[in-house]
Amino acid sequence: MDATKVEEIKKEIRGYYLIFAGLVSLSLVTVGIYYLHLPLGFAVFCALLIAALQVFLAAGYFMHLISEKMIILYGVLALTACFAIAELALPSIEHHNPITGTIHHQEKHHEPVSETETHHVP
Amino acid sequence: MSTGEIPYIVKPRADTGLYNAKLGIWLFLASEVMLFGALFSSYILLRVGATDWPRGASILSVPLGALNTTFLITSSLTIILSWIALRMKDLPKFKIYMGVTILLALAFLGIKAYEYSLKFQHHLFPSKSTFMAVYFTLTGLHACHIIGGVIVNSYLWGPGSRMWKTDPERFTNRIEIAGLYWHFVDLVWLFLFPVLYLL
Repeated sequence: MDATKVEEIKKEIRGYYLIFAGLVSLSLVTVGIYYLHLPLGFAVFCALLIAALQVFLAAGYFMHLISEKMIILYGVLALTACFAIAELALPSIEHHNPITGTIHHQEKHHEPVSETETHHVP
Repeated sequence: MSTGEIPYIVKPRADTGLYNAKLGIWLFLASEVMLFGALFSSYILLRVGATDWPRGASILSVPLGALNTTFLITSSLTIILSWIALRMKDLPKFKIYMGVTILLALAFLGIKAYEYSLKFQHHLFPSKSTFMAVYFTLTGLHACHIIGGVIVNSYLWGPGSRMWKTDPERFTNRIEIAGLYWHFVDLVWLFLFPVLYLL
């Protein structure tokens, strides 16, 4: 193997170590945010933002999506992303056609919130 | 071509730029996104519809979850280093890195089994509450993926590595494919950890 290629691979390895350090640091930040006892809404926003950043780093660099130049691959992934977003948006339908026994159903039909009728999670 | 040999098992196809296995694994991962997406969607539906939902940390152990996260992230690094070792024609180094990847995965499963046993000791079964049902479904399915990965990686570390002598390029591609799957399993956990343990 020629020296130039070895040097290129060594540079690549250094990049992977940096991404690894980034992923571990972001995980620590996620745990740190939990211990700050932030309001739930803000904590959810922060946790999902950090998770999305981690996914970008891992998928982009460990899975080489940043450097891939295959249009078909991006086509597959774009289609997957569209379906996944639609899938994750499905719960919003619940607000328009609420499931009996949930708080949305009771709010829509002005029913009193009952501990026995709702999904109670201890 | 006339010999009946399957084309593009090593070299990429000119128009797609991908060899067969790489296209195959990406299509498989796309289906996996839909599988886990459906479960996350169910989680959102159940959570927003519940009058009361516990914070994961009040039931689950955050330090154990964080330790497992570190194990998986580290295994993602070691599997990529095993692939690089093959690109540098260094089979012994590949064995070391792939071995470490398998050990980290087994450590992850060990901790997960310990967490499950703690829950069972406290009579926290999936039937106990919606939260526990979601927890066992999501982490159980993820653990099944880890077990699948361990089986494949162990085969490639052991008997499967004989291909290195006959067809090194194809074997290197196999490790790349195994790595793509492994990174995906890691990505799923990066979402599961905050969603279940911290929020």
